[in-house]
Formats: sequence, structure tokens, C-alpha cells
Amino acid sequence: MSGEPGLSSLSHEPPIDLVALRQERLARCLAEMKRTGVDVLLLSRDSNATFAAGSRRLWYAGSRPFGPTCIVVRKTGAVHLMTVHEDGIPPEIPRENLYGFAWGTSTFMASVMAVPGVDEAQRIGVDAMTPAYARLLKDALPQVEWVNGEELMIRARSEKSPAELACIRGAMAITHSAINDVLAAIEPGVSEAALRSLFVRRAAEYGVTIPAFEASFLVSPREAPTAPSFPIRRSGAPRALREGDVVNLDAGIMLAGYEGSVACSTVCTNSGHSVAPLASLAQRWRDTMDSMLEVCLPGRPITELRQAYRKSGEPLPAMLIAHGVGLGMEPPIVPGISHPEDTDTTPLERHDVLALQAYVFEDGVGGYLGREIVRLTPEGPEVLRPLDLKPLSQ
Amino acid sequence: MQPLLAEEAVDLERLRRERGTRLATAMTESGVDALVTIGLPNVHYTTGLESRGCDSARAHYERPVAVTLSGDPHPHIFAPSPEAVPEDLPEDHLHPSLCVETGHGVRALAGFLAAKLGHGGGRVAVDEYTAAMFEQLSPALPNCEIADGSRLMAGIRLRKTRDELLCIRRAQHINEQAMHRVLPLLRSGVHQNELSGAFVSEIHALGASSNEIDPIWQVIAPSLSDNPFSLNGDVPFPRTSSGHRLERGDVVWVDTGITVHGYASDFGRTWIVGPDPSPTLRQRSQFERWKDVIARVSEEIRPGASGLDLVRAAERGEPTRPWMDHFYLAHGVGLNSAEMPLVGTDMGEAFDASIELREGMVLVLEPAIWEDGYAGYRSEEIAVVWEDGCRFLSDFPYTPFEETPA
Repeated sequence: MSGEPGLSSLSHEPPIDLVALRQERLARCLAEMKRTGVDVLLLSRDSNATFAAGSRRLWYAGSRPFGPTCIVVRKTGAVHLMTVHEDGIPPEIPRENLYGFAWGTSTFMASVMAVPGVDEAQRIGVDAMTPAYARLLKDALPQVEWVNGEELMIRARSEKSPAELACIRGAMAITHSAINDVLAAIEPGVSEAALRSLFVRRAAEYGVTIPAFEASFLVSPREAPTAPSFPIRRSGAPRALREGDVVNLDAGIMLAGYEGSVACSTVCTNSGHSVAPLASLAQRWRDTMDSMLEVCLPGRPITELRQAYRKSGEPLPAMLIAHGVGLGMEPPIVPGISHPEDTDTTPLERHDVLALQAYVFEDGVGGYLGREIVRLTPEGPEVLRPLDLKPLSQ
Repeated sequence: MQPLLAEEAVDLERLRRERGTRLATAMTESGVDALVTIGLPNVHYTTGLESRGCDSARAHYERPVAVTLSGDPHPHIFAPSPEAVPEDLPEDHLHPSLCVETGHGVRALAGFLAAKLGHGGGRVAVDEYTAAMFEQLSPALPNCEIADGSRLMAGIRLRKTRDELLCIRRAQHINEQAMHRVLPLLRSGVHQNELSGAFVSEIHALGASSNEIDPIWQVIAPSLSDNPFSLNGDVPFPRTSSGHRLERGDVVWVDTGITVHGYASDFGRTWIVGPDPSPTLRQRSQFERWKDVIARVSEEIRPGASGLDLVRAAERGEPTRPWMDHFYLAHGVGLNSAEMPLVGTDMGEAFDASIELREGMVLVLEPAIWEDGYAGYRSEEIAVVWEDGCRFLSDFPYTPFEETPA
């Protein structure tokens, strides 16, 4: 993992041993199956298949409905994969553990049932489901107790090994590098679309073409809309930047399946426009972030993050204020404004790497968006920030 | 339907209104009291909410959830991005986001449904389940019957409205414009990631909503034995791109897709790496056979024709089925890059015969000609089923085989 410009900041780190990483992840998956008495996992999600099998899949944006494309059997310790061909399949998965794709569900179900260990399973975990597969699977396996395999996988995935941390740091390094190039290009007249174009081109030059989400470099609204809307732009038709605009930068990429993202804000100016209003917003953002960092300790309930955010005096935003980071976005999912009945009180102890986000808004000025990626340790949160990011270091 | 005019723009308000009408009719016909959609394309259809393109894990954990109630013209949206919902959504239909990956979120959703449906319960259709919904939704709604909402959604998404066609056309146009700028880069020494970076960069500059698939620039070795092992013995396509460097004369199968207002394009071409590539006689004859398949199939496309008619037309005169075993001769495109109707799959002749083409359906034709030892030719064209035949939405030349557009 060396030689790529975006990763040069990590050149002092040892290379990532992907073979050992795959072995260690499968072992954690099997251990969690043993602990919960799950005989077989039928997985469809890319994040789970990457964790259990380490296979490289073609990347599509968004979600796809469930289909059992990765099967883990506890008794044999084997991983079976649906695939068209062997490209991207790790060498430790033998050819006989591969099964072909079929549009016909009965043909496909026959392949699933032929996997040794499936027909005798008592308890099977699934990471999602469709109404059609629910019927087929319950008919084919009437004796089975069906359990939440996503929850199982999230438990297995939550603790991050050094190799996984290296992947996250690598992904962050590439994102930081490309964002620094975008920051240098911000000036009046440049369009938001041109900044996104620049980001994806730079990320590809650093070797990565898979985004965690569509990068956005958007002018913050200056006036607050009426509630329940929220004074932020996260999508929409691109505009041209003007002198004095507050710009929210938000981007992330995936490296070997792991997410690294960066969000920060800056002012568009080439005529020495006063940055004082932004400096005051940035300070409020810093105070909010520090307040959340104080409660980022293993064992603390995640509801405390919301309390800490409010304690800083800022209203909770209509966005996540925290989420887990690993093979993409992971629990815990901590929304700012949340549904009153959807309250997660899980303690933080299991969640190793968190993204903390804050957004502070001033009517007439704009909004400051920023994110910190932290690793929880008993001594306190360690902020992962491999490169110097100009707006945050001001 | 009136011809699509060259300068005609998408009318987003009419698009939402017409989707809403189709949805309401389908819900009444199938006796559904509440429809829960969590799949992004379906949420997009039922709400008009355009979500930012993202990786699947983020799509699972930060997704909007929609509940459409029978008799209510507006959906209820549990939205992570409230600023992005359509402006005409009544305030009491916009709710804070719900994470349906967790038990709390599912119980909150069930509580909402129970309150709206009242003591008698009702018929609740669901397009997909998260694992937590699969475990907990039905037990939390003892008075409700849970039905399959994915069939209902697939049914109404089958025939496109005028604005849906305009979105697909716009997406395809942007995709092709970007390819005009990428094609000159296809020279000895370029690596796949460079082409991907240039392509995605161009589509954003041209106004795409998002990129839909990591671009494919797959080098096809002349013989199957020199390609990676494939389970069905067919061409191992598609393969992911990487830092692999292309060499002069490489046969490259290209496949990309982008979206405009959620609607997907589908661009497929066979290219040869330059500079100044010149196909061999054999390669030209593969291309001519491919063109003949397209001509035979498009002649059959009209309302009332069956999927099997297209399959028979494609097979005529060819030694084997001229498309890949694990794919299809044709697939639909819309809010998903591949959706119903699927023609020529492993589901067999009876299934193909059951597909009746109707006006407004969109078919991506993707035959492939393979000659082992000499590689093959594969490209894609997008055809709309029109009242008197078909109209093509794709318009890109067959460089370096022919310089005139499709």
C-alpha cells in the first residue's frame, strides 16, 4: 500500500497484510456465530461479504435488495460465494465453494441448499430479507429459527484491528489529500460541480474510484428556512461560488472496503474578505465538538453524545451527530433530531471508531460543517487526522 | 405518445404527480392500506426525494423511509435530509429519520403504522426488510397482514411516464457526452483508474446527479482459457477496474452508468486501445453480426410483442444465443440500472413468453458476439417501446468500427 501520492503521508506505517486481515476477520465472524449459536449466515451486503470473505465486488451506488450471495457455515468454517467468475475471489476460498448466479429463484435456491451445512442448520442469521426470499427460505427450511444476522455481523465488526485502522487511516489520507486540492481551487466564479469533478479526478490519481458518498462542496445557505426544514445544502443543482460564501466540504472514499471521510468549511474569497464571522462559527463548532469528545469514552451511553451537543448551546441538527466507521457507515447511529421512540441507549464500549459531526448555523452568515474521526480508548478519544487540513488548523 | 422533442426538459412536478397517480391506483387494485418503502429507488418513486448517491452501507444506515397510506395523496417521509423533500409536502407528513436497522426504529415504525391504521389494522405492503424488520415488524403489528410490496412497485415502474423517459434520455446523453471526452484517452499506457477518474469527473461537470457504478474497462483476452475462470464457461464479465494499464490493441468492454433525478443510463461499448486502432477483419465481422442482432431485435419491438419474440429474432442465424449466459438479451432501466422486464434470462422460454411489451417500456439491448480465440463484440443500445415500433435513446458512434452513431 505504498507509492500512492495520497498515502505518502502514511509511509512510516507498516504495509497492511491483507491475507492476515482476512483470516482474522473470518475468525471473529465464526466466534460471534459460536457465541450466539448461529449455524449458518446468509449474507447479501457488501460490507458483510467483505468482512467474512474479503472478496472484491463490483461497486454500485445505493442499496440492493437481499439475495444470499455469501454463506458462512460454522460447522465447517467455510465461506461460500455467489459469483460469475474467480476474479476478486481470495485464493483461500476454493473453487468448489463458489456457486453461480441465477435469475430463476428456484435454480438459485438449489445452489444455496447444496452448500454443505445449510440443510441441517437450526438457526440461520440473515443480514436483510425480501418478501419473496422470506417465502422461499421458510418453505425450503421449515425447521429453522431465523435471527438477525446484521446485528451479529456488526458485533463481529465493531472492534477494529490495527490492519483495519490502517485501512481507515489510508482512506482518510486519500480523502484529505484530494480535499486539500479542492480547497486550493476555491475562488469566486468556480462552480460547485467543478469542485466535485476535481475531487474525483484527484482521488482517482491517488488510486481510488470508489466513493463513500458523492462528494459535495456546496455553498451554505445564509438564511434559515422555516422549520421543519433545515438550513443546510446536501444536494441540489450546482451553483457558482461568490465572494464571501461559506462553503461546506464533505467527501469520503473507500479503501479496501473501509471508509475514510472528511468534512470541513471555509470561506470563498480572493479579496481578503473578512473571515471574522466564520471564525466565530468555527469556534462554536470547536466548542460543540470538544463537548462531544469529552463523553467519547468506552462504557458511556451514546445518548450522552446528544446531551453533550446540546450542552454546548447549539440546537441539535437534522443530521447524524455520530456514527460508527468501518466497512462503510456502521452503528452506533446517533441522529441529532431523532424520532422520539427511536432512542438507542447502547453503551459506546463496543464501538471503536466513530465519526463525530457538528453543524452550527448563524442567520445571515451561513453554516459551519465539520467532522472528526476518533478512536475510542480508555484514556480518551484519539483523533485520527493524518494530514494537515487547513481550515481546521487555523 | 407525442415524440420526445430535442429541447424538451423534465417537468419534475408532473413526474411526481403521475407517479403518485400510478401508485394510488395500484394500491387500490391490490387492496393495500399502507405501503412501506425502504429501498432507495422505491422511496424515490413514492416520495420524489432524491437521495445523494452513496455506498451501500450508508444507504442502509442513513436512508429515508416512506409510508404511503391509501387515500392520502402525500407520503409520510422519515427523512434524514428534511431540506431535500419536495416543497409541497405537508408539514405533518415530514418526520425525523428512523433507523429501521435497529429494533427501536422498527418498533417506532410499527407504532406509527398502528396509529394510522387504527384498531382494525389492515394490509401493509413492504418492499424490503432489514433484518430487524424481518424479525420484529410482523409481531409488532398483530392486526395487520404483511404483503409483498416489491411486486407492486415493480409493476408500476414497468412503463415509463414521459418525464421518466426524459430523465433516462438526459442521463444517457450526459453519459455519452462524457465518453466522447474519455475516448481520446484510450491509448497505450493509460490505466483503468485514470479513465474512471476522467469519466466521473466529466459527468459531474455535465450535470449528472450521481455516478451509479464503478466504471468497467475490462480487457478481454482472445480465448476464454486466458481469462479468469468463470463458473458457467462464458466470458467472465463484468470485472472490477483497478490500476491495470492498457496496451495497444487490447479489446476493452466498457460499461458505465450514471443518474439524473434518480434515473439511470446504461452505456456499453467495445473499444480497441490506440493510438489509431484499426479492427481486424474478424473483429469487424463480429461487429457486423452484433449490428444484425440489434436490427433483427429492434424490428420486433412494438406493443404486443413478447419477450420470446425478441429472443427468437436474436437467435436467428446465430450458432448459439448471442448474449452472455449469466445476463440477458435485454433488461429494463429506470430507477434501477437493471430492472424488469428481463428478456432471455435463465428463467426460460415460458417466462420470456409471459413478457408482453407495452408502450413506454424501456429495453437495454445487450447482445454479445463471442468467437473463442478471437475475443468478441458487445455493446448496448437503449430502446423505448413506442406505439408503432421503437425509438432509441442512445446515440453514440461505434468507434473504431464505424463512425456513425447508433
